[in-house]
Amino acid sequence: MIENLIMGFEISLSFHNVIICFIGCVLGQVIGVLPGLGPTATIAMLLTLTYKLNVTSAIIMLSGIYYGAQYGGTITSVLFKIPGEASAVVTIFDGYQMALKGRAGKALGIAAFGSFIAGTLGTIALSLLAPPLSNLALMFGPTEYTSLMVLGLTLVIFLGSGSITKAILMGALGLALGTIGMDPLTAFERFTFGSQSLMEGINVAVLAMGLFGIGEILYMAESAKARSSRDAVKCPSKLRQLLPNLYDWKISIKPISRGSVIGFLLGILPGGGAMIASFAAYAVEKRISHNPEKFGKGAIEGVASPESANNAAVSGAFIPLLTLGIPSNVVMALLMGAFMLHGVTPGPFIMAKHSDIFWGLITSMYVGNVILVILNVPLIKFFVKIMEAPYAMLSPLIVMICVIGAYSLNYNPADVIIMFIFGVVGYLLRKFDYEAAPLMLAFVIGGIFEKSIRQSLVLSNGNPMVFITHPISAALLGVAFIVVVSPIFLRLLKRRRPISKFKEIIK
Amino acid sequence: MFVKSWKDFLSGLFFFFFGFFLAFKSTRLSIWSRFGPYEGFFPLLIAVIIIWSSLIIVTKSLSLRRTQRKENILEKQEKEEVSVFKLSSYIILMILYGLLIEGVGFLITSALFLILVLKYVERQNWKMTILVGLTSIVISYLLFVYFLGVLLPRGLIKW
Repeated sequence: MIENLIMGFEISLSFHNVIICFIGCVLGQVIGVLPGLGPTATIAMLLTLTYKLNVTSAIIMLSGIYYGAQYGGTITSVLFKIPGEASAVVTIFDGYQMALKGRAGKALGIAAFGSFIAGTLGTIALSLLAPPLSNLALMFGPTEYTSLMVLGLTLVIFLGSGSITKAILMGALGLALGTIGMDPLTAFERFTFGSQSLMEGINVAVLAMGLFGIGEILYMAESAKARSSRDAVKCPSKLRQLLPNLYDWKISIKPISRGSVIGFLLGILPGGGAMIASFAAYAVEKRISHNPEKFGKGAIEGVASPESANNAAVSGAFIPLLTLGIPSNVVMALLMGAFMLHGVTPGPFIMAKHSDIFWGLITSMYVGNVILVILNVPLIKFFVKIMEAPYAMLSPLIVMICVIGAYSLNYNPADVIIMFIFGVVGYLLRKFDYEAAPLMLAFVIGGIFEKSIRQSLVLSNGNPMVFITHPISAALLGVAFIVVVSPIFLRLLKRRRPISKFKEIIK
Repeated sequence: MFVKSWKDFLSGLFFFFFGFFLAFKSTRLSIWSRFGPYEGFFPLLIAVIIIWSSLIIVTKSLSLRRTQRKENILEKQEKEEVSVFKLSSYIILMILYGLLIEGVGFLITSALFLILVLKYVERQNWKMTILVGLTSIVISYLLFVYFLGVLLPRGLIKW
């Protein structure tokens, strides 16, 4: 193992590969900052750049692009409330609130450092546990996925800070929006109202940019009070004051650790695990926090945990690709394509036949994380200056960038209109005290949930007991049940205590 | 029966009817077969959840006793701070932007959008409007079209 790691570092730390990784990180970040252009689009765009490189360098560059694009999405989430893709949505909840309080530097800083730590832990876990953990991916079938998504949907309750009924309603609305388009199993058109543009459903980036980005612009346009608070934001000028201090680290280190574990384990699961990693990590932190009410109002843990989960999920997502040849998401599918273009087939034999590629890739992940921290920490001073620009100047520019982002997804102006419509929806939801976070989570996992539940029922001839008879599925449903019931149980327990105390006094 | 919160009452009512609409549309699809659920099953299930939760919200928004005056005063204060002009201007201009971008072209629609918003909605002076608007369009065009190869619509400009 140590010898393999040394060999891997010899490859990844060669001057050529460090430069390649650096270029990948920079390109990925520059493009990832642009709304609508998440890691998938970025890698797809820059794939051709890697044709002339050898396979190791090509994969190192693409991995660098992936990390860079993820962090780029974090920057826009924190500064402008515009998520680059689904996994960056959660960072908005507390990251943007931190920015409104002049703490954008701390949010970006903890995201960078948290991602670095999670990436490092994920890389270590990947190198030690890849073969045994790869079997975990094989144990998940439609039944297990259904139960995992049920567990994911219970997190909806903990994403919002207001009424649980409203959170459930928003979750249901998100699931409903996910049914627009072609049925995942029969390809039958649903709720398209004859529109060709809706045949493939609503794009997650369009929905996120609309609900959060455009919705925020409309809210700021209408509210003079919110606008003046935003314009009054002043960030410290010294880098040391901008970055997280000892206290911030003290409260963030455990969320980073937990987020890393959650993200890594969920990232292994093909299909939807990585997508819900950031939501799951956030919900867990909020659930176990002694002060859950501070989440959604600028809690640094609310940034540290999901950002770590995102990065750790990347490491986890490499396991099924490298050990089984199964890409767990679209990005991994693109990377698999890059492997095959260079004549290498990822799978069980890659460690034996191409150990230099395998270990070079694993160690390059660590190198990529180091590069991102070195690159971004000094740039935080520049990024936070953007917060001090008058919002009157920024808001039309943000709209224009969102329009470009939405249009460039499918070169369809309907996506731009849909984004604006959801911008109005996002604004109205806010005015009527509904939160968009549960809607977003449910939308993201709705497609996988419906497909798995229907596949499970078809395979079991309509017998719902299949979810109980499969042990992993039963365990996941049990956890979901405990998650749902525990707040009710704790509330009942708190109500009974005064009565028991009263009885003691009477005695 | 009195309304404690008009926001919850109206929004709950809206979602209640939306749920019924979704349920109606779902029943037009196939719900179940001997092989298991079909395409209408999942939306129907969601519709039931929407109807149930919106009913709870509507119920909670009603009260047998009149609401306290304090809550109504706070709601009034919130209403006074709304800038209807800015909000409606943004919405109208955004929708026009989206409708015209392909026909008229990215450059012209973006320029018009930026100028109209910066000058007439955000009340900036002409110098800042032209400087910010022009610079951002040029940089965006160079970045997206030339560097990234994104095909933005040319519209009326044929070159």
